[in-house]
Amino acid sequence: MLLITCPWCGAREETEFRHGGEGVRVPPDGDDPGWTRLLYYRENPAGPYAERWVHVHGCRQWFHVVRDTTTHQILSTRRLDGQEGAA
Amino acid sequence: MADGSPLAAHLGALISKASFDDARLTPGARVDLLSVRARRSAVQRVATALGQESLPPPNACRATILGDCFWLRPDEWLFATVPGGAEAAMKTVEPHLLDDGAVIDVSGSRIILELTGPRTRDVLSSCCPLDLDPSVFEPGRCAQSIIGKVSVLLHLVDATPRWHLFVPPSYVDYVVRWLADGIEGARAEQENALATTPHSSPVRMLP
Amino acid sequence: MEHAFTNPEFLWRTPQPRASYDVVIVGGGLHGLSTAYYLAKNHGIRNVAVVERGWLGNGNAVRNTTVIRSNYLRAESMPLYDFGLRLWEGWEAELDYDLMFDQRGVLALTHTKVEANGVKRTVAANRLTGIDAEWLEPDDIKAFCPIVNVSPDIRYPVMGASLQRRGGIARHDAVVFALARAASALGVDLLQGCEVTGFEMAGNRVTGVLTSRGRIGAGRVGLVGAGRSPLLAGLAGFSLPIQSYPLQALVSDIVDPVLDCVVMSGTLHVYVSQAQKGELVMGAGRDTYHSYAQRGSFQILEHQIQAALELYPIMRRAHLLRTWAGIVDVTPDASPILGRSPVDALYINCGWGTGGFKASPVSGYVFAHALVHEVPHELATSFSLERFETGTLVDEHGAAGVAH
Ligand SMILES: Cc1cc2nc3c(=O)[nH]c(=O)nc-3n(C[C@H](O)[C@H](O)[C@H](O)COP(=O)(O)OP(=O)(O)OC[C@H]3O[C@@H](n4cnc5c(N)ncnc54)[C@H](O)[C@@H]3O)c2cc1C
Ligand SMILES: [Zn+2]
Repeated sequence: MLLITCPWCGAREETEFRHGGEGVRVPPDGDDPGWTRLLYYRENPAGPYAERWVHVHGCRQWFHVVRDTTTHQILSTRRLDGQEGAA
Repeated sequence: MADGSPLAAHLGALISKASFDDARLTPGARVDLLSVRARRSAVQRVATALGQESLPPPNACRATILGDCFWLRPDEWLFATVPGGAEAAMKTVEPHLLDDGAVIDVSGSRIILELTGPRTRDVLSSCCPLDLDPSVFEPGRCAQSIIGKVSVLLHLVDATPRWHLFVPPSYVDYVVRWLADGIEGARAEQENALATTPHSSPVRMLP
Repeated sequence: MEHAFTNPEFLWRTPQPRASYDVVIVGGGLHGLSTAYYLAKNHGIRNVAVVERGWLGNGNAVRNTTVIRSNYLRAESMPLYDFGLRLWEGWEAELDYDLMFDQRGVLALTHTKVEANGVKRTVAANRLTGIDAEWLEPDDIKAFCPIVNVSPDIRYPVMGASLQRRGGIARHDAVVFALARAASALGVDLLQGCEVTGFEMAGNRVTGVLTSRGRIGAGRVGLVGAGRSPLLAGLAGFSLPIQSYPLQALVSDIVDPVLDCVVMSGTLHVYVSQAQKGELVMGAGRDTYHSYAQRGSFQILEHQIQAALELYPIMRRAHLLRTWAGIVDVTPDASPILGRSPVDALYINCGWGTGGFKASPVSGYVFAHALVHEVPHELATSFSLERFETGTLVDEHGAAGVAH
């Protein structure tokens, strides 16, 4: 089980969270291949992966996580607004 | 079980059968509940109006003139005020929000269960993933987490330890069954320890 | 040096890599081996290598729960999977190997009206396509599989089930052995400990694979890497609409025979069968996060055990013996990707996700055809990579959810 550090609540077990997939999706300029990529393609690297989680049973905030997909180690978590800490 | 408790009729027998001296589950006080959602500026005005320096920081609870105030998320706090007190409390808060927030009467959205006794950490650990060790979870802290699969707000009131669990009414049955099971386990463990530890007295024989 | 024990006779040759092959298959799981076997058997293409980074069958080939069935929903999928099931029905004789293929029947329980309607629809679609399918009421379920709890007082009472009698299980490692032996005997070189680390290109055409055992020239290359397919595609310079997730399974200790069919439950999220040896084999849904680590989180197992105990009170006394995970290659529509890639002479066979064991024969059969003829086999025309651009997806989420 993952131990995930919510930027607001601190380290909590994975069961309090939901995985939200790839972090940042940029809408295309309007061409079909662009839309194909937006709808169906996601990064799927072996190594550090930028994803989002939501603390659904806690503070209900979405936040950024960088996690290594080969070890499951969580390398960093940070707030969506980029601010530090929980203040 | 307190008379008139909505829990009494339904789960009273289950609760009292499971409870023992070191871990006792009872219905908590009835309260009215207010949700205050506010931007930063309004948060400060509300805090000042309540005579506080600020509203509680993440995962903390503070006593205020409107009752216990819990941090729920960066822009939301929950006030547990006296039964029937919601309207007056709203009138106290509302003028300070201006256009930067909202206060809503959410009374009835959660029921409080009280859990007390020295073995209650073990009981909670059987169904809740929080780290409740006294070194990290002190009186005055609150946290939103799960019991079984259900969201609850958990508040450590004092060092007894005494816990208040805020549970959505439709899930109370489920949560009580989890807790009763944990209490049953703690009690059985205790009885086993008494029966098998050579130095314990009195030695109780199990059938 | 003298050894006290002698090894059993090897089932396949262990050759050194040649300088080049007509076809190089990347990935020595069931689908890679099956592809090589059918290249040689159906098309007479024997100058073939299977290159495998670990050992044959280290991946999902031997991590799956071996459920075999063909009761999918879509007009595109049903013929594919059912042709696969018919190949299974002849495979033990064809490969001359005891695969412990056992058509003991696959039950899919329903617990809500919506689910029951959906499964009835699938039963109807199957029958119209000539695939055996039956709808059972709770009493029939009890008669067919006595240990299922069909009482009305559980959290999600059983409302009925579909049954495919031709469905069943097989022994996955036996299938690996059988295919490896058959392919090797037909001339296919099986190169283990041979990791593909890059591709040699001439313009947009692949001309060879770069491996941990050196460069190997290739007329055509087939990528059959299951969960690691996106990484292989990345080495060749393109992306796949695939996400790699852990899928876990578990077995109990060995118990007396109690279950002689496969039972799935989509709502409760668990499926169970009993291996011939006696272990209860259980699986459920995948983990939620991406991974290449071949392990998952504990709560997934806890959840499926809770579901199993609700449905089969008799399992209360069983012990958990072992758990494991494989990395599954999940597509947006839960259907495979078969055929050409953006690179010339490079073909892909992936996206079988949580349900490709049953397709081991047909996957190799149709993919070998594509490698030889450069056009998809008629059973596989709907499964090209282009479908994500045209929007003609083959949505099998209903048939592939918890049911593998
Ligand atoms: C827990 C679990 C339960 C499942 N249950 C079922 C079920 O009940 N029924 C069902 O139909 N399906 C099931 N599946 C799915 C099924 O196992 C897969 O769809 C199928 O096995 C995939 O094909 P494969 O055997 O070729 O994959 P794999 O055995 O994973 O083969 C891929 C091979 O490619 C190799 N490879 C990858 N990268 C490289 C490289 N760079 N160079 C060289 N080699 C490389 C890998 O080492 C691996 O051996 C299950 C899967 C799992 C994990
Ligand atoms: Zn949080």
